[in-house]
Amino acid sequence: MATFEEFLASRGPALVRTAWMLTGNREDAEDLVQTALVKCYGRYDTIQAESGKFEAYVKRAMFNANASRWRRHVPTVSSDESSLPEAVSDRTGELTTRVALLEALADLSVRQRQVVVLRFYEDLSVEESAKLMGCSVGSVKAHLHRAVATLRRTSLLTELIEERGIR
Amino acid sequence: MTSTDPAELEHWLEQAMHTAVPSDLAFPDARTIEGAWRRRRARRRMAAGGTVLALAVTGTAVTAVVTQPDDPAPVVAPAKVEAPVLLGLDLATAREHLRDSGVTTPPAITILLGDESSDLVVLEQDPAPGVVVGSAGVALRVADLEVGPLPTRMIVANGTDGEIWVQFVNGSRARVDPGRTLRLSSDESCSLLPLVASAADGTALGSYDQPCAGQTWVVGRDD
Repeated sequence: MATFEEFLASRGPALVRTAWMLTGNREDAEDLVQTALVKCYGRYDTIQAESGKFEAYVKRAMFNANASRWRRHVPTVSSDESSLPEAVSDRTGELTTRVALLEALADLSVRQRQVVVLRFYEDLSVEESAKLMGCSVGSVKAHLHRAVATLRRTSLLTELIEERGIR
Repeated sequence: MTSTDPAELEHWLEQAMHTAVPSDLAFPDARTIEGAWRRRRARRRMAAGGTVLALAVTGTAVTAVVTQPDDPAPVVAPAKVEAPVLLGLDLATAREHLRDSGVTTPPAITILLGDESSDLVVLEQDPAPGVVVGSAGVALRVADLEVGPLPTRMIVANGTDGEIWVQFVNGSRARVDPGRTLRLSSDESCSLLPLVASAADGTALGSYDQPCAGQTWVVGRDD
């Protein structure tokens, strides 16, 4: 069994990327990962030995902590300037995508955003998403439906997709 | 306002979400996580009525040892200090004291001085919240661990002109400089009576076997 240090070295980057998707900025993402890991650390040996699913356990803690944080603080930032080293006026390439994505995700509720992250970033099934979020499959489907409906109306995102000629 | 086709949107999301994440995000190392986890556990114990038993110092790193009334196993958690800790006792004396005491659970709040070994210095002052005072009177501020006022079960005061040693029945000893005090703050320390006080040269100065009731035993005074 991998030590906690080895687990963190191999899975830490993926956890913080998922956290960034949930929070939209660097500091909150790093805080979220640390909060979840601190909560779960004491059970590392037990969970890894029994099921090897410590990463899923941490992710669930991350999603719960993210929802709690969202309830405490009304999000006011739609994009993270600290993670945008280039000028925001440069609206091409990766930066433009990032800005559009963050602005679009900022319009979603916390549960809608979580579902979008799980389905389109983590590539989990509806059933797997429901298990991780601790809710029903129907609830995941409903959140996903509303999220997609909201995103479809996001003008910046729509313009970008049209510009890129995906249509 | 135009709207995007759901399938196109989902396709775009799958691509965008994998390319938009910054590549230089940092994540905490294992020691940071373990330290934070221990602090969290220690805070919970403090909130549940636990007591800081000891602070272990290695360089500028401080570790608090916290107990909980219903769980005798101490929790060891990192704490932080604002400045390097300088105590009056030299390391050799502290090591000698530790070797003589032979205790793993000190009878009073202590600081464990250490590079590679554990060394013990008994604190003699009532700490204010967040501050404990070493035997040389040097304040040690614990920045991120709530060190609340400890209960005073009994105080041993040095009323002589020289340093004295106070010995517990389990053989552990604490040095008390002239004019300073040693505080007993736990049931465990109060169970180690009678106390025997002696001068630095070994001369017996008296013993004390009254149960802890918040009183002060002044060594060197007959009354």
